[in-house]
Amino acid sequence: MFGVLKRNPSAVLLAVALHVVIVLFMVVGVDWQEKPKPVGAKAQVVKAKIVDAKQLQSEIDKLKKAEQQKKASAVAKREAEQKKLSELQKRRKAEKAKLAKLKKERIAREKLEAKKKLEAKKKAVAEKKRQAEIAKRVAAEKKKQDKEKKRLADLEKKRKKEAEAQKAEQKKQREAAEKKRKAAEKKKAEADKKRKAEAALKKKQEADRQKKIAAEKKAAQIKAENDARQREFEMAQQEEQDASEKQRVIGAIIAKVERNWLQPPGTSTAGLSCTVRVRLGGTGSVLLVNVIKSSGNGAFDRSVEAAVRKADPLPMPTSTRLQAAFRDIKFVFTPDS
Amino acid sequence: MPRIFSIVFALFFAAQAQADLTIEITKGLEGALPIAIVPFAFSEKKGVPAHNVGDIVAADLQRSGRFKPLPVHEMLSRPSRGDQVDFRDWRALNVENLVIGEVSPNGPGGYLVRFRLYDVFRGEQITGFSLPTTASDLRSTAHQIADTIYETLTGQPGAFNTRIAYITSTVDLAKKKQRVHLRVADSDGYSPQTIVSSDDPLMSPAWSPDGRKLAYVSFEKAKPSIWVQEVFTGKREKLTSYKGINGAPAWSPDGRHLALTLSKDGNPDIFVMDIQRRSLRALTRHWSIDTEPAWSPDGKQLVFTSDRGGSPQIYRVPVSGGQPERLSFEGKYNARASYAPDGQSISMVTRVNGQYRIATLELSNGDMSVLSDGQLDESPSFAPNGSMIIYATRVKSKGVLAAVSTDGRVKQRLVLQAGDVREPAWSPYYQ
Amino acid sequence: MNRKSLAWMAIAAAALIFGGCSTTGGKGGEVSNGSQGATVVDSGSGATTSAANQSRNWKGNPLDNPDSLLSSRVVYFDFDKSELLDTSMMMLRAHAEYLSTHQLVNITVEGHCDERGSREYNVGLGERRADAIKRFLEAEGVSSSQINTISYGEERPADFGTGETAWAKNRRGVLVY
Repeated sequence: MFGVLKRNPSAVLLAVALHVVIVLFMVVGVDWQEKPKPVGAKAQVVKAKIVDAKQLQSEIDKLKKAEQQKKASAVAKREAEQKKLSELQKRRKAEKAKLAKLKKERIAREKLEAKKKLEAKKKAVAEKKRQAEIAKRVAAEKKKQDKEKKRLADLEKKRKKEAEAQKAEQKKQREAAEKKRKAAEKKKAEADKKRKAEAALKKKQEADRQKKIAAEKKAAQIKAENDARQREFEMAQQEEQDASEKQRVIGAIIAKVERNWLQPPGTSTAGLSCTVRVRLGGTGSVLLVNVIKSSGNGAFDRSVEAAVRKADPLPMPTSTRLQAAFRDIKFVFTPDS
Repeated sequence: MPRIFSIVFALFFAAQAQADLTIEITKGLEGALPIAIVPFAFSEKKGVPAHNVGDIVAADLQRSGRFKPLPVHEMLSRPSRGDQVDFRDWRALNVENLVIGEVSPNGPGGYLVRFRLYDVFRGEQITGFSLPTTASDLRSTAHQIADTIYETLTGQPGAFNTRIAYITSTVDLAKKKQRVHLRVADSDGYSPQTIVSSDDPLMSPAWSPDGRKLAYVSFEKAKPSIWVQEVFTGKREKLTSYKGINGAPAWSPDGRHLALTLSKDGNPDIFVMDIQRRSLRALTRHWSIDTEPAWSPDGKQLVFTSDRGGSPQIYRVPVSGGQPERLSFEGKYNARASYAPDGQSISMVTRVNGQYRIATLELSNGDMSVLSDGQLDESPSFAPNGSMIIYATRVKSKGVLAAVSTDGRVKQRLVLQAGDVREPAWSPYYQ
Repeated sequence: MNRKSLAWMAIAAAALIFGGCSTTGGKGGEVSNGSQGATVVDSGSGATTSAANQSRNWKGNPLDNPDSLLSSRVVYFDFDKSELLDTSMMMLRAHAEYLSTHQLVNITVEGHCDERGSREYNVGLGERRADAIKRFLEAEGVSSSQINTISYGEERPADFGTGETAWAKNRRGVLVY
């Protein structure tokens, strides 16, 4: 019982309190109604008075009514009390039922608790057993492994031994082969050397012979080249002279034409360009002047033509060979600014 | 290597034998073009006209600064007809162009003027005309010939057959009085005629676009008013006489409007008047001095002087109205603008270090060039071919006219007469 | 500085002050508290010319009095400016006083410039100068209906020469009765 108390203190306390209350009610009792007032205090004092019959009757009726009322109220009161009592009883019953329910529940709960505990215990035991089993198995396993390990180790040792033996054997063989090979090579080398020496000698002899021939050839070639170069040199010199002569003449032509070119006054010549073609005689005399590309400005074109004509005769190269290039000239007049 | 070199060279030369040698010429001589103008012959022995056309042509071409006429005494021959010309005589003098001519009587009081222009080194005639004229128009015909020669040889139209209007005054220092005249003369200064004379100031002559009328400001009766007068008949009428300033008349290119300065509304502003209807429209409304309007050649813009920025500068406003836009930004004083005939630049008076000079302003990029070098230069006016600007200057306290080419290279002084000369206005071409 | 020179300076200063104060009644002379004949009523026009007429009583048109400020008719200006100089104020006040008491008299104020700069702009500048004078006179009580203005720009110089001396003479406003 006290275990219950421990486990469900609130339930127990409530049950107890309820019991106490009920008991209290039963013992003390609470009047839920107002105490009826003493009728006497409010009774009517009949005064000695002359009263007529009607009034008397009415008085009597009144009294009767009052009696009846009193009765009725007593009845009602009783009924109320009855009601109250039955209600109380009902409540008590309910209380009881509630208590019983609570108790039931409590018992059920306790049962459950016990069950749980039992189960737990069972579990623990089973667990312990299991663990023991596992440990056993592990130990067995370990043993097995150790055995295996040992076996493998032995095997390994054996293998190693065999391998070493093999290695040693192979080494021996290799060394023997090596020795043999070296000997053969040596022989070969000596043979080669001999051969080479002979070849070299032959080669040298041939080379000397060739050298002699080449030297002779070269000498002849050098001679020929020198001759040619001499010729070319002379020709290049001539060409350079021609080129510089040409430049000189062009410069002289430009200077003379520019000296004679009076640009149209007051005109802006920016962007104007006129090309004239001039045919010259052998001594530079102007034979023909044509405007082949007009500047679009008549006065400008005219001034350009006049410049070339006034520059007559144009300077010419001194050698007739070069004059050919100067017989037909295109002048492009494009003022700089 | 040398072998290859020689081959290339040979090819080069071989090629040259066929093709042309091309030479580039990049500069020549600039300056006055030598030209020979033989004095024109007169076909008769008697009745030789007073003016020698050849001399007038030579003087015109020389005055332009672009030509250098050969002195007559250096000429080796004096042909007047084509068959008399021997080009060798002229080639020897290194003259590229030759002008010859002849004048002959042509009816009563009339003449026929024949001239030819030759390319000496080509040995060919370039152009030639026969021009009938009268004694009174003989000088004008000579100027036309000079214009033709100028245009043929420079590619630009000449402006010799034009006139200038100007103001002259004589001062009586004792009486401290000035007598002023508005005059018109040929652009070489000949044949001056007086348009108006007055004891009160005359100002701002302006040619109408057809060259037949002059507008000007007169202070007669002690009130400034604007008048328009026909040059040939002398008939004149008063156009405006509002309270305050009436000044700076300028004709629109179509001749139907006059821009002018009026201060009737409180301060000088630019107005545009419809000449026929005499109706006025204010173009500027500003407390500053707005004056000296000038029209653009397309008639759509007006440039004017305004000191709304604190000191006189040039502004431009559309004729239809709008906010004026400032054009001059160099210097503290720029005034009296006028458009070049091609509309690309304006001339103006600018003050540089206290000296008042003529400058041009390129409208496309705002470049300003100072062209004159006097101290009190004023009233610039373009020739109708845009090549020269005539203006007023002072030489030893005397007012004279001068001209400068728009590229600044040619400078001239015009000596017209005694007395002070000022406010030149170059006429347009005659229509 | 010792006391002696200080004393001399004081004496000299006093002399100067009192010397300057002696009224000579000359044209445009300084008017000070030492003047006689401060108030002269002119019989002809009923004007009070308190600012003038020191040494002589003038009978006749005060405009013709060579000793009065009224005979000075020209006001000068600085280059490119149209502001009245302080030195002009007194003379202009004299004219203002005369005009405000002779309301039937009209004047024309002329504005002029020196020859520098463009001519039509100078007409505008001359007008500014004439207007400045007119406004001053109006502020001093002259009715605007009595004042006409006209600008001659540089067209009517007082001095036909060139140079600052001539130019200074030409930058002027003139009151013409």
